[in-house]
Amino acid sequence: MNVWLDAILILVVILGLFIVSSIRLGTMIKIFGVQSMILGLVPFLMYAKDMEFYIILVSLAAIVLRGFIMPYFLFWAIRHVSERSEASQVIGTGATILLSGLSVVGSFLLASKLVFPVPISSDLVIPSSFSLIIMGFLLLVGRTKAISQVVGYLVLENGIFLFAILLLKKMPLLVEMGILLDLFIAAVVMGIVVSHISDEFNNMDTIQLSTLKD
Amino acid sequence: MNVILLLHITVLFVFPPFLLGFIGKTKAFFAGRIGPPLLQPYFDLYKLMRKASVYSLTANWIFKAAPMVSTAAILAAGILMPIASLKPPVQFWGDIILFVYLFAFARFVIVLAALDTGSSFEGMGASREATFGCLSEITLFLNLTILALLSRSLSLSGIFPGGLSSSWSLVGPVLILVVVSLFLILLVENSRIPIDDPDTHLELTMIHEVMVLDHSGVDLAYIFYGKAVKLFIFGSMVVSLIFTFKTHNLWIDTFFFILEMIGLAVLIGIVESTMARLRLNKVPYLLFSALMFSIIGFIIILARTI
Amino acid sequence: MLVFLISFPLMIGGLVFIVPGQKSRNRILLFTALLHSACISSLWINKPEMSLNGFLGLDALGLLILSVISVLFLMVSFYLMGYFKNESELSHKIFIGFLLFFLSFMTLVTVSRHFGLLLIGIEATTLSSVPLINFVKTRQSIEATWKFLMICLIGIALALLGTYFLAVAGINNVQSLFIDKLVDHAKELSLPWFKMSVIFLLIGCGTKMGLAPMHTWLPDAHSQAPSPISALLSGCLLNCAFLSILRVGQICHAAGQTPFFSSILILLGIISMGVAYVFILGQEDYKRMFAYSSVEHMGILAIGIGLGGVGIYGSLLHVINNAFTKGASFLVTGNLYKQYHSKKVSEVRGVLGRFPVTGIFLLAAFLAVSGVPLFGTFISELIILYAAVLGHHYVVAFFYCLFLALIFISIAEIILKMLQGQPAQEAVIPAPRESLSMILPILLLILIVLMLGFYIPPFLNNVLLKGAGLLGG
Repeated sequence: MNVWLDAILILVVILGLFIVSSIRLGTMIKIFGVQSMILGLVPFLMYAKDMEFYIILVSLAAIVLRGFIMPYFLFWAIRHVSERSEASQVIGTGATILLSGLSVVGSFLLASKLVFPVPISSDLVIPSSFSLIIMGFLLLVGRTKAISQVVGYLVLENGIFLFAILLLKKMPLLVEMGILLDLFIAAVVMGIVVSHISDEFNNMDTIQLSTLKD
Repeated sequence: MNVILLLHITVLFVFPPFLLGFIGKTKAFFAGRIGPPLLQPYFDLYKLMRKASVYSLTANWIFKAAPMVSTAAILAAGILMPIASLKPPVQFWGDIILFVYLFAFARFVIVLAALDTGSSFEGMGASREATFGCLSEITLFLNLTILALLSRSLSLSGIFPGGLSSSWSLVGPVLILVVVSLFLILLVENSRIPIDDPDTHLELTMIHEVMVLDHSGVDLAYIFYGKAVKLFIFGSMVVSLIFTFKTHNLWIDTFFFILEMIGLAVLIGIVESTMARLRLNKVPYLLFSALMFSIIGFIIILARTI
Repeated sequence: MLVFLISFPLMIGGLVFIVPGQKSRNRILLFTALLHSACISSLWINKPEMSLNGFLGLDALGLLILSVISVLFLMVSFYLMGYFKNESELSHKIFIGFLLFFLSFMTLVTVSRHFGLLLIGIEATTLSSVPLINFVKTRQSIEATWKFLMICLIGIALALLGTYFLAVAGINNVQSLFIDKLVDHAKELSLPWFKMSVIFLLIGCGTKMGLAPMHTWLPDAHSQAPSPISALLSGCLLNCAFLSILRVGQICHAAGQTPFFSSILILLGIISMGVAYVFILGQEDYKRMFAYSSVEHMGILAIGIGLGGVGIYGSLLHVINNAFTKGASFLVTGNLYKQYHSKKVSEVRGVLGRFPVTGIFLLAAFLAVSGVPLFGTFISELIILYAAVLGHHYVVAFFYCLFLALIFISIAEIILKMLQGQPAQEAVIPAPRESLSMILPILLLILIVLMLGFYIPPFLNNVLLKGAGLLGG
C-alpha cells in the first residue's frame, strides 16, 4: 500500500516538525509518543507482502517501548520540575522551524544522490529518516533544558530506527532486538540522570552545567 | 454555455453571505444559543446599504474609493475561479498568477485606506495585516504551484475541476499537505480564529476589523460583502480539492458544491468555537508551519518528477 | 569458553547486590578479576574456536586488547581493596556490581565478530560506566556524567547509523555484518555507501575514543570520576573504542580504501595532539591534565594507524604501553587525592618529600607518559615516528614531534612543581601512609612499561605482528 506508507512517513516528518517547534515540555513528550507509535506501523506496511513473525515483534516492541513506556518514564523524570516550558533557547522557534524545513529539503537532495542498491517500496523512507535525524540534532543543539535534549536524542533514534527498518530482513534478529533494548536502556539511564539533575539543581537548565571548564 | 455563465455568476454573487450565516449558527450552537438567523448577513447588508457613510476630515478619495475597488478586485478573482464543474467566465493560461495578485491588490487598497484615516489604530491593524500577508501569499503561491505541477496546467480551470480527481490515489499524501496548508491560509486570509477574532470588540486584539473600523454605511457594506466573497473563493479551493466526485450534470454538481461549502462553513465554525485566539507573536509560527507543509509537499513532488 | 568469559562477570555482578559487607564484596571483585585474567592467559596458549554461530571469536587484535583490559582490571581491583574505606552500602553495591558488568561488556566488545554486536557492547559499556562516574554525587560529577552520557550516546547513535550504511553497502553481495565476511568481500561493497559508513563510524567511535574534536566529555568524566575508574576509563574504555576503529580499518584495507581511511585518522590524530597541548598548558587540575594526556595518546594511536606499515605495529605496541602508563598515572592521582584531598595542582606540593613512594611513582608516571627513553612509550612513539619518516610524511612527523615536545614541557612544569617544594602549611594533616594495595598495582604497571622499553617478549611480538598483519602492516 504505497500511498498509506507515504502518508505515514509524511505524517512522521510533520510530527517531528511539531516537536521541534513546540515550547512546552509536556507537548514535546506527548507528540514524541504519538510519533513513535506511528513509526511502529511502518514495518507492517513495508513488509506487508512477506510478513514474518519477527517483523511483527519488532513493530510491537517499538510501539510499546517507545510509544508508551518511554513517554511515561520521561514524565516521571520531570515529576519534580515546576518549569514545564523552555525559557530560553539557543536557536529561536522560528529559526528552528525554518532549519527543519531546510533539513527536509537537504535530506531529499542527499537521498537522491545515494542510490539504494535494493528497490524499496517507498522513496520517502530515506529522506524522512535523514530529516528526523537532523531534527533530532536541532533539538539537541538548540535547547537548554535537559529533558528537551533527551527528547532530541530520542527523535534522532527514531530517525535511525526508520533507516534500520529498511534492513530489517537482512540483520539477524538478535542484533535488532539487542539494539532496540540498548537504546531503550540508554533512554532510561538518561532519564535517571535527568532526575538527578533536577533534584540537585532544582531545575533542568543545562546552562548551569558548565562549571567544568578550562 | 450561457446557462453555465449565468449559474456561475449567480452562485458567486449571491451565495457567499449565506456562508457567514452558517458559521454564525455553528458558533451559536456550540455556545448553547440559538443565534442569529441564517439569512442575517443579507439583512445586515441591506441595513448597511440604506445608511449614509460618514467620512473623517483627513480622508480623501482613496478612502472613499477603497471599498469599491477591493470588492471589485475580489469579485474579479472570483470570476477566474471555477465552481464545481462550471467553467469560469474568464480563463486563460497563467491566470493563477493574476488570481493571487488580485487578492494582494485588494489587501493593498484596504491597507492604503486604513493608513489614509490618519488614526493609529488603523495603522496598527494595517501593519499586522501586511505582515501576515507576506507569509500567507508565499504559501498560497507555493500551494498553487504544487497543484499546477500535479495537473500540468497553469490555469485555475485546469487545476480544479478536472486534473486532480485521479491524483488522490497517486499523490494522496502531498494533496493532504496542500489541503491542510490551504485551510490554514484560509483561516489567516479571512481573519478567523485562531488568527483573529471577527467578533471581538477590543481593538487592540483585532487585525482585520481594526483596519476597517472607520468605514460606515455603504462602504462597510462593500467590505463586508467582499469578505464574504473572499471566504467563498478560498473555501471553494479547499472543497474542490477534497471532493473530486463529479456527475457531469451541472445542476446536481452545483447543488453538491453548495452542500460541501456549507460543510466547510460548519467546520470553520467548529474550529472557531473550540480554539482560542493565538497570541500575536505566535501567529508567524502558524504561518511558518503552513509554509513548511507546502515546502515539504513541493520537495516531494520535485523529487518524484526529477 | 568465550561465552563463559562474558557471562560469569555478569552473573557475579548481579550476585554482588545480595552479598553484605564491603570487604567481602571487594574480595569477590578481586577473585573475579583473577579468574578472568587466568582464563585470558590460557587463551594465549591455545586459541579457542568460534562460538555462538560465529558471533564470538578471538583474533590477534581482540586478544591483545582483551589482555590489556584484563590485566588493568586486575590491578585496579587490587587497588580498590585499600581505596574504599567506608562508603554507603547501596552505592558500594552499585559500584562493584556495575564494575563487573563493565568488565563483562568490555569482554563482549573484544570478542565480537559481528559489527552490530560490537556496537551493542560499546553502548553497554557506556551505560554501565555511568554509575561508576557518578559515584560521588556532587554538582560537578553530575555535570560530568551528563556530558559523558549525551556525547557518548550521540556518538554511538552515529556509529550505529554508520553500521547500517555498511549493511546497505553490502546488501547485494555480502548481506551480513560479520567482520570476516565483510573483509572477504570488501571489494564488492558499494562505494558511496561504504565511504559514508566509514565517516560515520569514525566520528562515532572517535567520540568514544576521545579524538578531538569529539573529546569534550573526556576531561570532565576523567577528572570527576574516582581515580581507579579514571584508570579503567583511560586504559580500557578508550581501547575498546580503538578496537572498533581497527575493525573499520580492517575492512577498509581489504577494500583498498586505505588512503581515505588513513587521511581522516591522521588528521584527527594531529588535531587531538594539538588540542591536548593547548589544554595541558597551565592546567590547574592534575587529573584533567592526565585526561588530556589521554587525548594526546589517542591521537598518537590514530596517527600510527593512519601511517600504515610499521606504524601499525607501533600503535599496537603503544596500546599496551599507554594503557598501563595511564593506569599507573591515574592510580597515582588516587593516592595524591587521598593524601592531599584536593585536585588542584596549586595545593599539591612537596610530594617527594612527604610521601616518597608516591612521589617516585608520580615521577615515573610522568616520564612514562611523556615518552622518555627507558620506558616502553618511548619505543612505541619512536616506531611511529620512524613510520612517518619512512613514508615521507614529513609534515606529519614535524607536527608529531612538535606536539610531543611541547606537551612534555607542559607536563614537566606541572609535575615538577608538584614533586618539589614544601607542602602548604594547612595541608600538613596527618595523612595515612599508603596501604600495600595502593602501592603494589602501580609498581607492577610501571615495571611492565619499563620492561617493554627494553625487551618485548616473543609471544607478545607474535601477537603484535599478527595484529598488524590484519590491518596490512
